[in-house]
Formats: sequence, structure tokens, C-alpha cells
Amino acid sequence: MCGSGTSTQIAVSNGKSFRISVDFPCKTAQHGIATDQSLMQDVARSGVNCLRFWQVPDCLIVSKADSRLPAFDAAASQLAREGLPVEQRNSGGTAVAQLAGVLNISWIYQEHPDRAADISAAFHVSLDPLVAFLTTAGINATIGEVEGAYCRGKYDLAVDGRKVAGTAQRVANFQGKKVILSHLCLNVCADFRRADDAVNRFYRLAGGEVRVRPGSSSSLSLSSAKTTSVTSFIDEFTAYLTQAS
Amino acid sequence: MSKIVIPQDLWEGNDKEAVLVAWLLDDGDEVECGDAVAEVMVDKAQYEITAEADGVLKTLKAPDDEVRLGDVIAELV
Repeated sequence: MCGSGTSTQIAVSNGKSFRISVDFPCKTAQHGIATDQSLMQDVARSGVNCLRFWQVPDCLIVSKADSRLPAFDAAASQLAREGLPVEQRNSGGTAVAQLAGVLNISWIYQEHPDRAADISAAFHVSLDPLVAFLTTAGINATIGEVEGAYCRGKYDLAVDGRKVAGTAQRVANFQGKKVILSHLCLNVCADFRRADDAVNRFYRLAGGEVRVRPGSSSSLSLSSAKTTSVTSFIDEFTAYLTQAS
Repeated sequence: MSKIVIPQDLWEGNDKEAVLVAWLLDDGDEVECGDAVAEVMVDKAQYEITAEADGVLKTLKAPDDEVRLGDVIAELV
């Protein structure tokens, strides 16, 4: 079984089939993150791959390394008072703002247990369908690190050179079954300036050196008048995926 | 005594530097074969490292340390 709101619709990416699940709003960020982890176990057990769309309430999600910054507790308290609670994720990278208009997309699938994980291939499982979809909509989407962007990495997704999505992946073994989570955090229509400001404010308050470059990020809605809300994006993207499969 | 090693075939390309993100158990904890004991990250991809034997955990690396495929990160005594 694949999350709440599971449909019978099937998406295909890189030759793998995924059952689609729409799961939002999650009550808390921790619940949203934990559900991905439990879905990894479900996928190991059932062998049914899962594509999950999910959202969490406004917050700033930081890594374990961030939580070791000298003034982390004071920074977290201050941001919480300002309406942006700080949540910790069990992974690396740097802080990411989750605001209304940000959509998480998790592709969870089994991989052959004896095969070394191909990091690039796993990122392309989540990125390729989205790039293809955006391209059909006339949007200039590219994959590659965006200098100065929040939580930057080699597999950032940019539109016209500005980051609209960050990616991460997790590989775990459950009783000999290897499961990969290829996760993408997409700014559909959130206030990206507020998101970047929140990241910079956190690091200033906490005593960290990370800074986001103004103008390094954007949202899909800025690039396409068609993309007006998260729900309309999901409808359009799932329609594209199911047609493509 | 056995060792906890980052498997040589965990990911493709042994020139990549990874970071030990976290220990999932504490120094001195009892470990059973198959337990996930640590997480490492490379290129924003995170992997669980599991114990290949039973024993008591003695960590040799700290969170945020750089690690590579084949590195010994802990002993089981």
C-alpha cells in the first residue's frame, strides 16, 4: 500500500512503473519526512514502486550539521517566534524553506540488491520526467548546480538559470531489498525571496557561514502563467505522466 | 574483532569523497549483524551503513568527517 490518497494511476520513469499517491497537507514536517521512510519499507515489502506528492506546513528544514551551529537553539527559537519553525531532517545538505507553494515529489523504488547505486541515474528518475513535462510547456528547464542557490547540488533544477527545485536521495536496505528514494523539492508558486531570506536569516542568527545569493532561485509560476497553484501543477503533471506511460 | 567498512561497491565511482553524516547508534552500544549503524552522504545521496557482525560499537570517525569507499569507520569489539 502506498500512502494515503493512493490512486490507481501509473507513472513511468526510466523504465520503472510507479503508483501515484497524493498526500497533503501533512500535519507536520516530521510526519511528511517519516512517511517517506515508511513508504521505503512498504516498497521493499510489496515491490510496488511509489510516486508521492506531498506538502508540509511552513517551516525551515535544516540538516544535522546545521543543528550543531553555535547559536542554533537561539536561531530556531527566534524563527519559530516569527512563524517559521525550524525542523531537523536526518540528512546532510543545508537549510531549505518549505512554504505554501512548495511541493515535495518522492520517487521511491526497488533496485537490484547486487548493483552499485548509480547516483546520477537515481537523480534522473525524478528529474527527467519533470524536465520533459516543463519542456512541453515551453519552459527552459535545465539540470546542474546553480551557484549561490540554497542547498545547492549537481542535480539542481533551474528555469532560465534560476533554481526552482533541489534534489536529494536516500538508499536503504530492508531485509536484503535495496530501495531508493529520489526526492525533489519544487517551488511551484511560493515566495522565493521570502524562502531565500529565511535561509540567510537562519545562518546569520545561528552563526553559520552559508549565504544564499539573491536572485539565484525562482518559482515555476514566475516562468509560466499556466502554473498557478500546487494542485493545478499536480493535475497537469500527473496527466502528462499517465499519458506518457 | 570485526570492522565496519564502507562497501567498495556502495556507489559507482570510487573517486568521490563522501561525508559521514551521523552515527545511528552510540559508541559502546550493542550491535547485531544487519543493524544500520551510520549514514554517509555523497552528491546529496545518503546511504545507510550496516554491520556485518555482532559486537560492541567502537567508532573511528566523527560526524562531518570525509570518508571514501573502503574506509574503516568503526570496529565491533
